[in-house]
Amino acid sequence: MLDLLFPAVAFASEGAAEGAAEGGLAATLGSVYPNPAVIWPTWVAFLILFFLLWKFAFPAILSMLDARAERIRESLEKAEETKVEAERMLEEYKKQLAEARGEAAKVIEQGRKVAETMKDEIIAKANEEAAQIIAKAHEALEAEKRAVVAELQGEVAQLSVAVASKLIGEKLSAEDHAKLIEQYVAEVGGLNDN
Amino acid sequence: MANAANPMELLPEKITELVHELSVLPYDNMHHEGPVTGPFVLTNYVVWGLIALATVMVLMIVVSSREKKQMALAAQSGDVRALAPANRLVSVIEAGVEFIRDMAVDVIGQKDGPKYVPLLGTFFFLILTSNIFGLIPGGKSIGGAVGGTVALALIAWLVFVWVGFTKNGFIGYFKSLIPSGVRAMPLAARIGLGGYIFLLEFVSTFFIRPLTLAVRLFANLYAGHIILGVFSAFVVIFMQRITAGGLAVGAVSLLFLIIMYAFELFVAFIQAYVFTILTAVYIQSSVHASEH
Repeated sequence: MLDLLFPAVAFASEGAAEGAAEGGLAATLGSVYPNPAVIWPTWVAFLILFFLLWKFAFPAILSMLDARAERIRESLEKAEETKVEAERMLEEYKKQLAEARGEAAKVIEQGRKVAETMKDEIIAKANEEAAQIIAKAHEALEAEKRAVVAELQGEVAQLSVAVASKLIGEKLSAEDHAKLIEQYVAEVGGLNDN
Repeated sequence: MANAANPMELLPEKITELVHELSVLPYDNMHHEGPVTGPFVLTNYVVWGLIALATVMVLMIVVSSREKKQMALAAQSGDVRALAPANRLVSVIEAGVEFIRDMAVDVIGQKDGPKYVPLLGTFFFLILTSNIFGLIPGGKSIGGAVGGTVALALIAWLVFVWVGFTKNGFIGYFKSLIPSGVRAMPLAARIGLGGYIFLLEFVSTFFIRPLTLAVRLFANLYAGHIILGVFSAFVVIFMQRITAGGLAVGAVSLLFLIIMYAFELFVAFIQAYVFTILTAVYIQSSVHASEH
């Protein structure tokens, strides 16, 4: 039963019995015998692989890993820089935009003011012109009126003289006529002035 | 044979067969009487070890030449995309190399660690690949033979003892086996306690360390192979019994065999890792011996 549980022991003890006959350490130790037929080929295999990895494989792979890590680090740094730069530019553009908006508002305000003053000026000028025209028209009217009145006075005087002459003949001298007329005109003119 | 009354009667024979199969035999004669005795016989373990060696070599050459080509391409064209891992194989090998490099740096230190990466990498990749080949039915792992693990442990031992002597000096390395606290004690304590600790540390460093390295790897893999062998023997024995009970036991054994196979795959990784990291720890203790 012990043989069942510990096959290595079983084999070893089995081997021990034979080992006495064959006299080999290999047979005595069984599975736990460090067999030289395995030891030295393992050393050779190890040394070959070690040389290959040490001289060729690992330098190439490790330098690739380092180069890639360096590249990734650089890229991340660059990305960070770019981000900061972009944020700075965005901030600048926002400021510029705000400035431009302010500028535009100012320009519009100014324009409005200019237009306003121009409008006022134009209206004032128009008013003035209109007043002038009206004044001129008044003057012309007044002059016309005066002329008409003067003419009328002349005609009335002549008519009166003619009528009076006819009525009273030639009794009144020219001087008397004139006096009479002026008196009359003054009366009439006085009426007319009102 | 299959018609034996009690299937358990078949087991001792199967196990003897299994143990014989796991012993060091000539690669071309499975029925060789007892293990190989001559040192220049090409054995089953060595053939499978050489297959593992060739596999690692081919993988490493393919990957590293690919890396070199891509590095040259990246340097020449300035195309950064050439630095990206080329394919899955490259990624896997790179992950392994990076794993070993990180282990070396973590354990041994930033300054001395990188120097030991090729050594630790050789241990890791050789043992791991060999362990995996050992799981192929009929395959053998270097770690499954005491000779193989003793050979590897001796290399690790030589390296860390060599590093200890060259880094600390001959006397310095022996002195470093005694803790600095004890070295500062009065003379009597220094001789008594210091001598006692020195003896313990001396035996531990120069004999126990290589022995445990060799035995741990061997015992784990050998035990794993025995377990897989016993369960496959169960499956074979019980599946031959065309009774309900026989088939049931056979089916359960098969289930366990599959589970154990998965577990042994895990063990293949773990033992390669343990051997490598312990070697790194021993090297570290030699590099920094006089600091303790």
